[in-house]
Amino acid sequence: MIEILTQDFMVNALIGAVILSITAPILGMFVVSRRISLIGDTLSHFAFAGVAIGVFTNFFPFLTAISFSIIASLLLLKLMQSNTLNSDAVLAVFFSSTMAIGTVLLSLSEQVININEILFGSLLWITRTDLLYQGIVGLSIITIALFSYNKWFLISIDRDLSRINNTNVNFYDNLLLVLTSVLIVVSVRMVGVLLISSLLILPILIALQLTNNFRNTIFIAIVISLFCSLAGVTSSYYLSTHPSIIPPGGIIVIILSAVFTLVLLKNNLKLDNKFGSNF
Amino acid sequence: MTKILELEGINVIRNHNLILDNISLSIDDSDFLGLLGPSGSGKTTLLQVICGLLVPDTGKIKYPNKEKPKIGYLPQSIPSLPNSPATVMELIASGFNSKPFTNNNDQIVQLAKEMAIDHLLKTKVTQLSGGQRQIVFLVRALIDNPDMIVLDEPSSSIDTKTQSKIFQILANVNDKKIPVIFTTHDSFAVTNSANRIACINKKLDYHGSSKDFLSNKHLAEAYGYNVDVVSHHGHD
Repeated sequence: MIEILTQDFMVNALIGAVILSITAPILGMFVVSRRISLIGDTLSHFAFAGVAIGVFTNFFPFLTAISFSIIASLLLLKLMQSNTLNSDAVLAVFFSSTMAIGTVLLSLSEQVININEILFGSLLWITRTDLLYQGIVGLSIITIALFSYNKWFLISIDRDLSRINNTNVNFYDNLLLVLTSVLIVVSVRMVGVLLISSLLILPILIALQLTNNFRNTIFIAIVISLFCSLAGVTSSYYLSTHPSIIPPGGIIVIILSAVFTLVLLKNNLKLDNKFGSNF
Repeated sequence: MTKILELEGINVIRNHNLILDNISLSIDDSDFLGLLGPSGSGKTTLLQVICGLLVPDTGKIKYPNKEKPKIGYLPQSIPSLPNSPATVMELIASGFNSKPFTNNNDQIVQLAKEMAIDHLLKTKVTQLSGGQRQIVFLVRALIDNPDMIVLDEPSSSIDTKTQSKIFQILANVNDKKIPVIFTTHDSFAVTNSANRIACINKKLDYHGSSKDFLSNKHLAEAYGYNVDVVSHHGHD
């Protein structure tokens, strides 16, 4: 462990993992309780297309990714709220079309890009500037979530009840999606576009099996996410052998999925025993 | 009697169909108003207009006290929150319009005791029965001292015991000069509980006291076919 801390890029990766582990479950809780878990995948594809636009035009990919993700997520929500198409159909269209835009633009680009690093993330990518962006976004998410908690909670129960309680439902929906988009963009370097949504969803799904109320679910999910992310980043360092580098995002998601399976099995066994004893 | 709300010439058109046709209605603080009518008659649409969820195409909504009344609302389909670990306590707390970080737990516990649901406060909403959920959502509607209670089909899909409990709670609320408005298909529920009845079938067919309502003519208007009122042991 001490050896890891002597490497600057590993310290950056560990700090990045801590910030992501605290912020992703906060937004993930409201995404899961709104029953739009798949939205994280679609938003991460927006980030992919946004990065590709930046690479193709040779203009700061970070800025193009943020701008494209925000605009596309607002458009996505507008279409999901209209009655012209079902939400899942809208998600499917955006999911595939933005991936297609990204793939075509990257293949047309004159720059040499390691597409694996965009898709799956890499420890070597994370810089102090990335951490600064992640820190600013993380602090903003925590502050906004503290003040929007009641509104997001109420919207997750019922949209009409929220409107009657004088809640601007559209504003809070847009806020949730924009914050999630921005978090995804600043975390892409570490986890990659294909795996980032798992960090939003899996810690919450694990915590849901362990807790009995809404607020505690967020805290437990943060603890689980911290444990799995730090374990994933550390494992990625020790398991990588030159020249092959194991992306930390992959290991983090494998650990989260393993914990989820174990907790689910344990709870199902408990249920079986409970019903078994009654017969 | 203090007027809380006045509707004047409300028309609602959806997909080129007239849903509400020139509805005028006023609501006083002593009203326990039942909106009766067949399916598709526009009862829920009228409730949406009253709650401010739907802006009518023409007509006016007036608030004699200048401010829009604070409304406690019970929806027709009570959310079951399948992906949410929210407890009854958290759900009821969401009824407050208070600022973040305000602790209202004592008020919730007190009202929950009055409504005999204090034993459910730590239970997840997903673990409640349909009737329990209905009562919990009603407590949520009452928690922030509303100026008016609005309920969409509160007697549908629950047993008669829970129905009677809900209407008893609503009667107690109405005694404190808080108007109650509810929609129903059930003429028994409406005549038993409400002190005023409005029969809606796009238009306002009847509006008056519940005592005067039980006549063949008014029931036929409410249901869209002839209904006979039969006297039984001296009661209508």
